[in-house]
Amino acid sequence: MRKFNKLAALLAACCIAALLGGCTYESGPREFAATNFNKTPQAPPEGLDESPREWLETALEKGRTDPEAQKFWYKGHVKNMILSRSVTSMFNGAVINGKGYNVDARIAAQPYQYYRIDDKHFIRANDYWVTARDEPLAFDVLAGFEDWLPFMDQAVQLEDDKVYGTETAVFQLKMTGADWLAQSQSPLFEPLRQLLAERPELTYILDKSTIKTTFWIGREDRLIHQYETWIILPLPKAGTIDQQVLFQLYKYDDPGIEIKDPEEVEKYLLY
Amino acid sequence: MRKNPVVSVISWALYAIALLLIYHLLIKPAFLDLSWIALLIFLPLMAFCYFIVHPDERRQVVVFSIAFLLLDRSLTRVDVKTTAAILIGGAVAVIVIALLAKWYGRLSWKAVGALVAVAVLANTTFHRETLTGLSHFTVIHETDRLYNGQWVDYFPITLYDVNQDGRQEVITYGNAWELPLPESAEKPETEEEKKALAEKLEHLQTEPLSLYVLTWEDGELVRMKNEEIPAEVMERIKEQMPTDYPGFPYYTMKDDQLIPNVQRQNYAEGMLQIGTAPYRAFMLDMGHIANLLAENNGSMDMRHELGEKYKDLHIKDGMLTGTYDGKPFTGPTDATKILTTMRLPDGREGLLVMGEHVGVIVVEADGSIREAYALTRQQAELATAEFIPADIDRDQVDELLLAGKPSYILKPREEGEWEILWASKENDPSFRFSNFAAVGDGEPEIIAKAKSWVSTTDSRYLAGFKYTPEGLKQNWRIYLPLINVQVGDVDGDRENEIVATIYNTHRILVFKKHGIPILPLTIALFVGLLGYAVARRVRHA
Repeated sequence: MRKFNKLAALLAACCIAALLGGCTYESGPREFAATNFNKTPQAPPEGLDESPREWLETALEKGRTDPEAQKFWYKGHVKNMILSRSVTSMFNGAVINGKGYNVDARIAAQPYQYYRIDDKHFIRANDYWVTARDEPLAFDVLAGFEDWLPFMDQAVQLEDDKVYGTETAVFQLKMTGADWLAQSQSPLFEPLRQLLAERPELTYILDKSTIKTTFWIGREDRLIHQYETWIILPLPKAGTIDQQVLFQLYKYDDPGIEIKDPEEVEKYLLY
Repeated sequence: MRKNPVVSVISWALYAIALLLIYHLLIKPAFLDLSWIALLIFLPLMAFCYFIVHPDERRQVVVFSIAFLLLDRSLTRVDVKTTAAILIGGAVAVIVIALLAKWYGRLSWKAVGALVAVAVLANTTFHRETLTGLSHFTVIHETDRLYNGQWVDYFPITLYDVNQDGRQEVITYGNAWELPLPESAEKPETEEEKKALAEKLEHLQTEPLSLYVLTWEDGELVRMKNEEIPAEVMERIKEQMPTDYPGFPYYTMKDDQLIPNVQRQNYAEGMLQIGTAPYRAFMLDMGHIANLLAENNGSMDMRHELGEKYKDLHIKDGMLTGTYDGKPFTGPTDATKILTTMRLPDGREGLLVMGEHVGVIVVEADGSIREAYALTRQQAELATAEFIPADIDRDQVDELLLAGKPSYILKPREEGEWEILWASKENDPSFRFSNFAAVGDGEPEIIAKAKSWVSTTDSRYLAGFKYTPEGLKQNWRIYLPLINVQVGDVDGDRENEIVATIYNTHRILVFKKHGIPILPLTIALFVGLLGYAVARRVRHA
């Protein structure tokens, strides 16, 4: 018993000393930690038989025509970092080309679901299903990728990488926003082109911006498995906005992918 | 404890108070800071405490201790949505635990009464958050929720003496006045109600949002009416507000409103044209930036006054202009943000500006500018970093506290070099500098958010540190994950308080430093209790 008391007293003394003594946070290494900014990407030791542009062309052609690429899971987000604040929108779900898709989404911390099948569109928010009545955009999951083809001539190949276990070839291209706007054929940029004509001061923003896009294309299946764009733009009163747009497409042709019948939603429809 | 009834009640009540203090000031912080090490220390200690109580009284003491801590915790967690819920939930907790303690612990009603009374008083007579920092602070006020909207997680806070009365007002954004919470969520019944709710749910809604200026009045923060604040003062207040873009680029903060820039259906469909996703994101950004520049006449940033010598600072069209010590200067810059100023080794006051990189600008005699020091993105992650000038070694030259991942204390040396005095550990992404200021009537100290010493979780608590060559020596700690920390005299007693909030609560807490050595007193109390138990055990063995 005496021994036990001594041990307990010792432990109590340690505890009290720890609480009374305070703590000192010693310094980590007194040198700047390495960042990825402007790091020259590591090229693979062996090149490829086809050019990056041909890889993307093949991926798009297979994506549109290969019967085994017509349904897949996807996961995406747009992360916006300004000063100490980070705002993220997210999109997860499954696609069956030609039939429909579902989206578990979040915009600025507000979750909702979007469900599109044939010509029917529904939103689920605050536990209610409602009919989505805005003019729908075209159902074309690969829309927009073709616009990158001319840029791919400048792309560099990076080390191979794995996306959800799939071995992929990786291609990256980097430019300013001004170059992107000048060379892109996308109709989405048309309003910005018109705005620039009236607001030349925006050219400064575009000149000082950085756009870095990377494609991960499957070595075996030649399909797009990951797609990332970093956008860095000067932002008034805030330094820059650093924005990451990332999509992962995985489990192509997974037999578990099903889009539920619209009747399943319609019977719970609020309005 | 078999004494006359009054002494018995008082004895049990004092024991309950001691338990409350020991639990919140010793045991809980030990577990939060030391994690499994605390378990290793406290398990044998608890066993010692168990065996040291005389066997005849052991059951009563153990049951009383557990029942008291349980009831205290239950009352803290009671549902606070309505008064009825508080009363019913509290009453159920009291009755169940009191009867269990009486039956199983064979406690006297006097002991049960003391147990219930102290637990109830501990939950009704002071701000419970006080217990998280009681070793050095008390919470002197907590506001009601200031934002009742749907999605913003926090707003910036600043302190500014609006009415020049020596007290700093607390300034933030809110809409609780404009958007009161409904009493209860009603289910739509009629077709019209269903249609109205469906239309509301289909689209993101505009929210009211106003500047909230809170002033200290009769021991609490009360809102000043915006219309009673002169327009020029309001402009100054807005200039003091830290830049923030809640919801960017999905919402725009404009004209006392948060206006959505996207809608649920089209945004989901747009993002599901996956190849276009970065195009759409870029267009949203550019639209937002174009509007910002249009509102500011092309100006990137401006300040009327900054530091001791800078005035009329302005960044526009890639040029930085202003006056330094009354003399005008101008020069090219890529910066879009004017950060702050810092005293440099050559005696000049440097101006920190931020673009893709951060530069410390000095003004030359001929009115030109030169970047005397630079921090690049190759050196540190600057996009989400914050920069706090602080003369931590009191040599009249400011060091720069860089709050990031990792965080650094940088000392400007000659020839534009930075010396790293201190850096947070590589495996600690949680540490982040918050302020350099005097809390209470003490010397200025480093205030930072830091995680527990051994835990692997990233929960961060606010702490005060003193810089020493050996590292940052902790002065105090508040066991709450506080954010948006500001330090200033809000109650006008010429001592600085800590003003802060907790993520997604939209309540502002005011912490006041006290000079009472609560922690040593609690340790003495703990040791005294153990000594008392040992003495009783020996005497009545």
